[in-house]
Amino acid sequence: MTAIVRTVGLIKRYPGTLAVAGLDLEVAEGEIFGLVGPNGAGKTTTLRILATLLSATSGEAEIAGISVRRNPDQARRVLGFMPDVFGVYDDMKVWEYLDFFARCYGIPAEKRRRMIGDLLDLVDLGDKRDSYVQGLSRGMQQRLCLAHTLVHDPTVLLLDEPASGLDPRARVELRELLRELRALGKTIVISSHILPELEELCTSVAIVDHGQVLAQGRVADIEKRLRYGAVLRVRVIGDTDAVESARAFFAAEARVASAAVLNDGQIELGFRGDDAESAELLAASIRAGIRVVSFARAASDLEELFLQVTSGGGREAIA
Amino acid sequence: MTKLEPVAVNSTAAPAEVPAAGSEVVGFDPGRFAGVSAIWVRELRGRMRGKRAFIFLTFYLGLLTTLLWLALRTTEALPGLSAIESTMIGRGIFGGVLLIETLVVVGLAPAYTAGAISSEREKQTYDLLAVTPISSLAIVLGKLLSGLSYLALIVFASLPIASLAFVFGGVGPEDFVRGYVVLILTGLGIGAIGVWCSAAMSRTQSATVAAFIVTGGLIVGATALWLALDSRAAEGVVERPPQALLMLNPFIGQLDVICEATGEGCFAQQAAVPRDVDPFTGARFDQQGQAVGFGPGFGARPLPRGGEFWPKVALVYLAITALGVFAASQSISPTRRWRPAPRLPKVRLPEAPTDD
Repeated sequence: MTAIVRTVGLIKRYPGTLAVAGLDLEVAEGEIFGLVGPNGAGKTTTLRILATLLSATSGEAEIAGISVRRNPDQARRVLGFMPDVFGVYDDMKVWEYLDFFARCYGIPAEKRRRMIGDLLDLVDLGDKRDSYVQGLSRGMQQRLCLAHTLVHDPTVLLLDEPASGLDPRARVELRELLRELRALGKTIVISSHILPELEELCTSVAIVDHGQVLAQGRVADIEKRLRYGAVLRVRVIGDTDAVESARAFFAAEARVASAAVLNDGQIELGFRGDDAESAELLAASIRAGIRVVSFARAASDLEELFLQVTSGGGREAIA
Repeated sequence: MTKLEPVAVNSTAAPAEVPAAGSEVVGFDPGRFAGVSAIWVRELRGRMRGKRAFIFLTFYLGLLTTLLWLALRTTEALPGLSAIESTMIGRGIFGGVLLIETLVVVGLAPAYTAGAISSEREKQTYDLLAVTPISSLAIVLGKLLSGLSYLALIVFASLPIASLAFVFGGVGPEDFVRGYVVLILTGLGIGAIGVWCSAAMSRTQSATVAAFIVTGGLIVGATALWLALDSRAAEGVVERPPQALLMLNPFIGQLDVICEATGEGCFAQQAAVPRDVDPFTGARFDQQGQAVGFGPGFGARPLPRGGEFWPKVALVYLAITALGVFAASQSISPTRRWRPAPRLPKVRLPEAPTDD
């Protein structure tokens, strides 16, 4: 595995605020890497430092082996950046928009013509070539902005909340487009707080909070590391009293950190233990006469991982 | 799906030798200035699209033509126009057109350039531009040139009207060249001030107000200060204030061009002569108005001639252009500032693993 995006001890301090607090990140080549975190976690600041739009207070950041701090000009040639909020030039046609950015990268005229056609086909805007940019829908503008990041064939794409403001259909289209770009060999770093979206798309994630990486790696690997703190869902037969007595039984168990009855009658357990220990808990509950219908770990998803990691217990588990 | 072909970009790969740490402007790379033409083309395309630009141009040329037509009608009323009178009309057209065009440049250059960078920020397009490898200098130059291109079109479109002066005589092409040199450098200097205000401020409205205040301060303020200092002559002070204050006023520069061509409007020359000396005769007078001798230079050059002052004005505006462009490129973004290669603290990155 070759890391194509790396940050070491990245710090960004604003007056009175520590936006990024020693962030270490490593993204392998060819990945779709998700930066997950709540608002204010430092995702956008990190991406803007990587995109050479902000200078870090200290620490180092590299893209394709180029330091964004020491050689920002070289770094700009190997990265494409799409900000979370962007505007469009309101007096330009779609092809002119791409032509402008291609000129900015010094691409010769004959290559520009061919490349613009290819890019418009890629983002499915071929029939909008002569439309004015401001007349496009939000989703189309988003795709056009993505196309503009590709004019110089960058190695790494940094996309900050690319799906924000898009309707479900446009999100699906964007997701497909990003998969196509990965197939073309691009490494994509994408930030979002819409976790299900990233879960379907990303090959690896970093969970960021308070300017630090709390967990990083493939979703399955993080899950494995957090397994010791799984959520169990138990369904029992019986009336409300039976459910409540079952909850009290589980709550009394040493390895159960929390036990709550959900609206659908299931009991949710915050369980500190591995698979063998959860099997023992099941056996004990049956011995205690609880009529268990189902006993399973809650399907672990990115959202759950995120909540676990960003909670105090999760941090301890990661540590 | 269309397969994207790799596009050859100017030095896409990292170079073997990287520039000095922290210094963005290292050496000369013509590719880095490709952005000047990119921005120029984009801005002009936007500005010239639609009817507005052409309507304004037509209105301006129509106004200029009407003024000249009225002037010509006056001369037609004169029976038997002598050669000297014809020359005077030619010189009048030359001087009038030059001063009107200077007024247009001074009035419009800040307006056309003060939104150059701030409007990008307002439209949230600046990040997209800043992440390209265009240098800060190229962004500023591109914005400056595109802002002034339309102004140049307005000025040069009026050349055929101004050249009517040749029909009447009294001025030569070299006089026009001098006038246009001052005009172009004035436009560049004031435009650079506009771009600098635009780079330093986040709102176009504030940048426009600031650009007009700075321009007004340079032109009106400095001249008013000179006049105020000069009025001390009434209190018996005969030394004139420093002429350098007047060099900030392009109108006085153009008056010098007119003075060189016609012998009229020699304000700068008169301003250099001590208050107690008559600029035409060289005679020195006391406070009661009695001639008491001769001023310096009398005999060698009793009548002031133009031609020495406008090059100084041109140089001052060239310097303002350079300063404005540099200041704007420094204000454009914290990560795009030029700085003399600082010693950055080195952070050792861990070795990247080579396989999975």
